[in-house]
Amino acid sequence: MQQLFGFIYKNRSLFTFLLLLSIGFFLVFRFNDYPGAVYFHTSNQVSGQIVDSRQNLKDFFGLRDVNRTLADENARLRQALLTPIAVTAGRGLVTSQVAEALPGQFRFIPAKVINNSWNRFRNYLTLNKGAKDGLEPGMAVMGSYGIVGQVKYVSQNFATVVSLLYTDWEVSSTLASTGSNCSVSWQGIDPLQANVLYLPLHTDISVGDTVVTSGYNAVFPAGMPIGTVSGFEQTTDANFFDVTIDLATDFQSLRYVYVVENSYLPEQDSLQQLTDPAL
Amino acid sequence: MNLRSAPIQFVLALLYIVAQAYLGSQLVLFETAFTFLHVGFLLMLPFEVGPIALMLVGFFMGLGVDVFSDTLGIHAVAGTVMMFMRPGVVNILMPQGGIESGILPSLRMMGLSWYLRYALSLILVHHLVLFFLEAFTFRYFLHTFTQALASTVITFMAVVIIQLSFYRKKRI
Repeated sequence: MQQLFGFIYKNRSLFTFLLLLSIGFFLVFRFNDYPGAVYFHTSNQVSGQIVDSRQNLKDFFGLRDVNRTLADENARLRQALLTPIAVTAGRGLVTSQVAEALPGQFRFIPAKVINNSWNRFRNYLTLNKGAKDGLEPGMAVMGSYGIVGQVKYVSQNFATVVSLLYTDWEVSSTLASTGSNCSVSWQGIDPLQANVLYLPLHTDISVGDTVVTSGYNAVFPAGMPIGTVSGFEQTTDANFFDVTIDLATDFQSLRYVYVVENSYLPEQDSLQQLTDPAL
Repeated sequence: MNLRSAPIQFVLALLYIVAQAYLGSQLVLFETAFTFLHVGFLLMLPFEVGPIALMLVGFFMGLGVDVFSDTLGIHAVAGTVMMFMRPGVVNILMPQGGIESGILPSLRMMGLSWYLRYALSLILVHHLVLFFLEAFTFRYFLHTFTQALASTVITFMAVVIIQLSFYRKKRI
């Protein structure tokens, strides 16, 4: 025993190193789903305040672009009001499938993006709305043109959102023209493009087709635009197309987003729980 | 201002973290070269600080930066590894006759050639750990490696600029 303590004492800096390293690796790989993780993200009060004030400073230089985007969106929405049904084509906020939603099912909470990254492999956004505005973990986030991500942590005034630009995350989606189910997954590096997985070879696909959310996982409402097909190819040994899409959302100029509250989510969840307890 | 007193170092560390959150994180060139100002603080810790204290400071400083960039644990690991290597690097680069007491590992006090080797090697270690842990794949090896190299250059320049502008010329 004496010798063991002696050994540890002699190599104490090596042991400290290994200890700190394992704590660090635990934080990186295991800690994200623990409740305490909320204090270690930009949504906590202190760091939220700081990124918020940083964004206020940056806003000074970008207001013109923000105004243009919002005016664009207003124009599209006015158009949608005038033409009740025929607004499904193109990069629209409203598509036919949203109309299938129950009345009052979705509530949109506007929020400002105060922190955003797109050049890492796992990207997050921070919003200036939090629990006191009705945000909850798991809610969908969308921008003027398409989906943005999903709320991960909330504090009283801020929220951290997992961006669509997050490798290993697959969003359940549909090819709008044929209704084929597929998944959208970002491969890292290029913030303008993502890949579509599991689209079988018999699918009638062409460049320019829209990929929208499927609505199956109850995170995103059905029919929200994700992107348009920019290219596809058939590799000889695969069962699926290799498809790349141009993302509908321009993450680099994203300033305002909408958090989508699905008021029927608990009901849907508990029903699914009944039929399949393993879910 | 005595750079050796612990409270001063603590305040300085907080300043560096805020500076990194406010300014450093926004300095990205060509989506490739990132700036990590807080590394400058870790490089500047006095020679007398022991290896365990170095690693603890590296870990907690990294954790502070992680909170602002939603990269929980990644900067903490990078800081720990960098500070684990620091005594070894200092040993290898030890000038003949040792280092006088009362000297900081800074550009002005140690000279350009010493500081280039010291700072660049440690920043490179820090960035390699940081970017590869962040990517956690060797699929984009060249991309990740380029990011680490480019960021090393940018971070080094930022660290030197901060040193020359904010640290006093005479010995402390």
